[in-house]
Amino acid sequence: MSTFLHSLAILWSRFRTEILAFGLLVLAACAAPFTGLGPRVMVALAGLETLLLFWITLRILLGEDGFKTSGGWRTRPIPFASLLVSQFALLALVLIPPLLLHAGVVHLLFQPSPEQWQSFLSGGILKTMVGWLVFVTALKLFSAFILRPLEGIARKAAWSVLVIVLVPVLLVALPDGLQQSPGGRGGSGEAPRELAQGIQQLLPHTTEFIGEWNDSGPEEVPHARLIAAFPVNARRGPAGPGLLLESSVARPRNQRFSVELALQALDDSIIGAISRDPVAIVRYSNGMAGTCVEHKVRQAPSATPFLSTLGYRFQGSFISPLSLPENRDATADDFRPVEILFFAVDDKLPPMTSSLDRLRRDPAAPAPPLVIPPPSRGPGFDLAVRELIDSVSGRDGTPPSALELAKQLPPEAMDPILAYRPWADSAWENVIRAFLLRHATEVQKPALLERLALDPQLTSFFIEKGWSRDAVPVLRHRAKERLPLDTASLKLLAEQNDPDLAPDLAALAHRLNRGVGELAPALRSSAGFDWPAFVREGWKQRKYGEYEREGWLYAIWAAELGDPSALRRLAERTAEGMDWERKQLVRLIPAAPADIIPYLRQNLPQLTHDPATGTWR
Amino acid sequence: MILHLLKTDWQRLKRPVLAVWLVLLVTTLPWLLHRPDSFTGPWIEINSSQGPIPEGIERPFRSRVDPELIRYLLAFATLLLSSAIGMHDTRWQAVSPLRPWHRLSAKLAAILAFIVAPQAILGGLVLQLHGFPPGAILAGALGTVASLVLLHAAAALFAYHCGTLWTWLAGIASLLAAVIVLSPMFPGRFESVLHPFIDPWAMDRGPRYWIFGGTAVVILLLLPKIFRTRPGSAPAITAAVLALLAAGMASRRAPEVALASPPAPLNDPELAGIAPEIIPGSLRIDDDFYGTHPAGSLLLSAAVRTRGLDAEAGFVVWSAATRSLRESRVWTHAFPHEGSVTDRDALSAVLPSPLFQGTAGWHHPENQVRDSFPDQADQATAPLELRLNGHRFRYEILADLPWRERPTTISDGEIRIVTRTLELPDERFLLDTVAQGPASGIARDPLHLTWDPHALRSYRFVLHFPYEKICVPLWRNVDQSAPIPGGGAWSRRILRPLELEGSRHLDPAGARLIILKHVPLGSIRRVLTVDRSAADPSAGEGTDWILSRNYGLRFDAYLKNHRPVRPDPATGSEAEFARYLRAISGTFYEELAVRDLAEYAPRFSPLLLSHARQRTAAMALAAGTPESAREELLTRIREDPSQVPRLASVLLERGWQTGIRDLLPSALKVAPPGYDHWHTNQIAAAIALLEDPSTYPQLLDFLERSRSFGIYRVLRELPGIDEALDEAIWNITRSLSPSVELSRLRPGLIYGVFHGFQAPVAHGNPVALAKLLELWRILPSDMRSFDQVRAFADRFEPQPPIQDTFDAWRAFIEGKSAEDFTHDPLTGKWLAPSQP
Repeated sequence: MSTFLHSLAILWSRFRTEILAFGLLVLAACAAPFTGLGPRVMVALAGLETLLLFWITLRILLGEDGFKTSGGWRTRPIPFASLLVSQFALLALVLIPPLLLHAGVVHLLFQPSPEQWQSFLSGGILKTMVGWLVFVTALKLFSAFILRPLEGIARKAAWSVLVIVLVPVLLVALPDGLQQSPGGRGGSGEAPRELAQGIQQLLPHTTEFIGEWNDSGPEEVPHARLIAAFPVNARRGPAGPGLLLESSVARPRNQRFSVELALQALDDSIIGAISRDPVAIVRYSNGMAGTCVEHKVRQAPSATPFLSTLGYRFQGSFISPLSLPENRDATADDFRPVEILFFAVDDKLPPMTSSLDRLRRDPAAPAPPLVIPPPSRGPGFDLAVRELIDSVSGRDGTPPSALELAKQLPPEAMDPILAYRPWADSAWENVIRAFLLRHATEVQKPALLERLALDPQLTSFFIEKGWSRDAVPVLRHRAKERLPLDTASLKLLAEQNDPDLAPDLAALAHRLNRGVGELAPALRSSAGFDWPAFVREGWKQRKYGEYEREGWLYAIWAAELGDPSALRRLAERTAEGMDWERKQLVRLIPAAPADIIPYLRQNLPQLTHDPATGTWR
Repeated sequence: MILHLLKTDWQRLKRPVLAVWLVLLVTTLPWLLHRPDSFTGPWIEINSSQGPIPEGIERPFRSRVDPELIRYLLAFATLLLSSAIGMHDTRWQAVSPLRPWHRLSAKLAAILAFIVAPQAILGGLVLQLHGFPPGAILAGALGTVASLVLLHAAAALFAYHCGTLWTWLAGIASLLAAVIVLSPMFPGRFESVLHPFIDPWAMDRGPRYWIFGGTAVVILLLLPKIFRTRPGSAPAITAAVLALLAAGMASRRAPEVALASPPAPLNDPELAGIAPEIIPGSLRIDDDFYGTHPAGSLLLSAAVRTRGLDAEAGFVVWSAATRSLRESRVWTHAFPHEGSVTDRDALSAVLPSPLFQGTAGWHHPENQVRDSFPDQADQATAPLELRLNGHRFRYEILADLPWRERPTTISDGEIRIVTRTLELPDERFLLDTVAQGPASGIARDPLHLTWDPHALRSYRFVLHFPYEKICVPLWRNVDQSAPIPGGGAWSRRILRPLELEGSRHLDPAGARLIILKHVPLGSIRRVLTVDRSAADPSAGEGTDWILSRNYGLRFDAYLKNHRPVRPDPATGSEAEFARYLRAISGTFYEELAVRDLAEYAPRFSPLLLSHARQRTAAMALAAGTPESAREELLTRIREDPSQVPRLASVLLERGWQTGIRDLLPSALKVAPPGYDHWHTNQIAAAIALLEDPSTYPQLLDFLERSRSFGIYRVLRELPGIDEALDEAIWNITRSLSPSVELSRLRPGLIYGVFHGFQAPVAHGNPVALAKLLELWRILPSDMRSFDQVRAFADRFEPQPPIQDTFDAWRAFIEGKSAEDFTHDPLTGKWLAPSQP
């Protein structure tokens, strides 16, 4: 038997208990991921494995030089080289099978692609091997050249130095789990922002995108790329090449869902992208997709001994359908989170144009061209009619000739026009009113009356058409419900001389922004209408509220009725240079000279009201 | 006999002992050489440092060597020595005819003489050099001795049970293995077992170390008696490891600073009648990602305020009384968060001038309390019990010094504070302070210094400008702290005011520095039962669904993309309408969109109500709600009065404000000044319409808070308000300070400097006019702009009129004093000749 084998046999018989214990531990650690054991147990096993490996290394390397444990070697000398080689060989036998076993486990759990294996071999495993070799070499050099020849107090000093170095090394070698929470990051959730459109394109079957999706943005936006998708409330399993989903749990948190993911990865190709600035979306069972409001990420301890996989935990708080007002009576079970998705910018595709919804408002944008529908009904006719109405809506500056052309709509446009609501003021004024005057008949009357109930603009059309008798009941109903009416409608109702309607007419007239002056004579002469009360209330509203809503008219009327605050407001406006108010004051204060402002400064508080004439003296 | 044994130990361990002494001397050297009056710390010993040192101040020495490493070196060296003392002679002493107590006493004497005494003497020397009083030195030395003796006795006994170096290493490895296995299962419980051994001075934890060391020593002494184990045997090592683990568990249960007497009565009678209360809307319950409970944790955070406390009795700070949060020092919770409401109120109560309350610095919410709870699925809705500690305190002025003074030393009991002020070209108000005092573990009053980053926390520093009548808090810029060997603490802070960068007119010559001291008055414990459902992160104005709306939708997008999918108002479902509403309610205000949504109001008023913050939705509600639904709508508003502010315009439009007249004043009360002017003006108008004199005080109070010109214009119309309005205008005028307004001005913030002047100037207050002109005068020329002029030009009427250009206005204003103007009550303008 060669001295090498002999030495190996001696070492084995000496340390076999420890080595066998280590082997059992390795088997347990390899089996752990396939049982139901939690990650904490796996972290503990991994830590223990590392510690035991260090211990065995220490024992085998220092056994001779440090402690002279084998005792008999002086009597049967083994050459230094044989001893060295046998020690290293035993250490390799101790280390390599567990490494291979663990690699097998990694293959089963992570299902890495060949490239990932390659980078993992050159990264994780090589790093472990090199680190361990450095430790082994340093220890061996120390024991062989420093510890062995020393005797007495020098030997003790060397031992002390070794201990002072070794204990911290053992502490450092502890798995991450023992360090206090390694650097976690928190932050507000990353709203999709410019990725919103790209993500929405990738999720065509989503019924609604809830959360912060609808920010306006630039004209061009990037495409989105799906980095990873994880089922929610799933069991442990591979989640893509080199990625292991340990757990994914969703918990309702009032109106939100909190989703927590635990992942292990071989490299940071995917989780790096996820953890830097995650744009995370949760899909719900009702087809909605919610954004993340808040998230935290942190590194988690690796549960694979020697092979440093990356542990990663993500927790996000997601907008859920429960927050929507229409779901106030729903429970968390009605909207289960199904899947959590992570997106990033897709650099490979060129940017795309923003959709109209997402474009920033440009006040200087030119009005769209007027759409003139074809002269007869055919495919696309209805759409063209609507587009015509749209293109007139809210626009100035359409050439009159085009508007004239628009009024030549064929009678077939009646149905699409009536079906489209509401009508914008300008579309009504410029196109629809003329069209209806020309083409509306008794046949359309019921539909138009229905329309009148929603849109009192039609009153003037009804009057012109000679249908005011039909309009009155509809308008009357609106007035009783105090739904807004325009001047023409109010005038028509005032002329009905119905005392029952008087308070409603007063309230609706107060709400007019423009036209109360035109309406006033009709109101004053209407049966049962309390004019002084109307003026008093109206002036109060304008004085404390918005004077711009024809407050000056109420001021004149209130001043005529003797309200000093109204008179003062008129005087102030006059002093500020308002000519209209000055003319009214001259009328209201007959004694005032032509240059009325100095007179007002001096005499305003002393002026008294003459109820008989409605003037001030 | 004991002396003889000691001598034997010395003979055997002479060289290691000398080596350890050398290590001790070398590691203490930075402190021995440190000058006590220096503003920089000793080299290599700075424990923590935050924030960059401003340019122009001498840099502290920053060593490349981690001070932690040096402390480890000392720790392992002493540890190895005590282990050697414990184990070196077991073989021959086992058969020697010695009484056990002789051996024990001799070993104890060796630990005392070789390790503890030198360390205590050296620490005392450092304290003596730094001018600590003899009492503090003695207390520090006793603390050092008590902690170290027990620790090293435990280490020696552990080594004794392990027997030889080889087995001792095995023992250490077994201890590590146990910690590795146990700590992931019970996070935060077993790591701490190792910690005492790597902290050489062992002084910051005090009683905790004593309990750890004491328990370990007792168990290690009793073990061999009970189990009759033989040193070096596997049972002996196992028992020793278990003993240390048990001692670690026992010390975790120990209060952190138990032996120091509490600084104030624990069941404070003054606090008997008070109750803490969670400020509505502030409660959050979230997953505690870093939680310590094995099955996941919940993190509760809430702002707590105090009900029923007499204003004279001081102020109360609340903190969670929990063990599960890893808080290092119990008593630091007795301090209010700097910049919190409580802090501000407590400071205001003692300061001679009003406290400057700009935006920076005052960002802490009131009394934020955090606690963590296990997340148990079967009790998902059960209420949580939040245990709170309330600490009553007040600030007292410790010193009031001229700002420009040579370095000043102030003593507060055993604590010495040295301050100096610095005037750098960029920063004219820098304060540099250094404090030293006994460390908390030994200090008789633990509220004082500890050597963590909270040091100096007992003190607040305020800059006082007596002429301008304003106090400006100084905020921390740099924090440094370090332990002084022997039981002392050293800390340094550089502080500065945050919002005075642009204030070139404030003069350091007249300024004063006020140092305030935190005085604890009493403590109490209370339990709050927290209803989890109140912790709705999406409640209130920041509701989640509002995120789902379209932001500023373009009108053409509304027509083109959304109108074609408009649900039928008569037959559409609520969900369809909700979607449509979210899509279009954010359209830029358009009559058409209002009319569109108004058609849905009869059927879906609750949905529209919830969106009423959007003007389009609010006006649709006003336009589309039938009068017959009035009561239903008002009932809904009554159910949630917080909606009143955003519904004010709807109520006004329909004249429905009388139906909820009792709710209106409170709506004004909760509206923060500057909050959405359109809404607040509408509420003010709604209240004014009532013309009810009992509402005037609230309206005037809001005017004073907001200084809003719009509100002023509403209020001046109210009958019989004249005198009270005059007074309110005077109050606003008094509160206006050109220098304070100016200090709020920053590049980019061009609006608002003159905002507060509009109402009093229009009202004809000459003092306000003079202050406005003064503000214009001190406004840096690069800040003067046409925008600034526009903010007040309307209030001036040059005679004859001038051109509306910046130059013309500047020429008009410059060189004029308040006397040059006359007020025209008719227009509310000030007349002055255009030419000087």
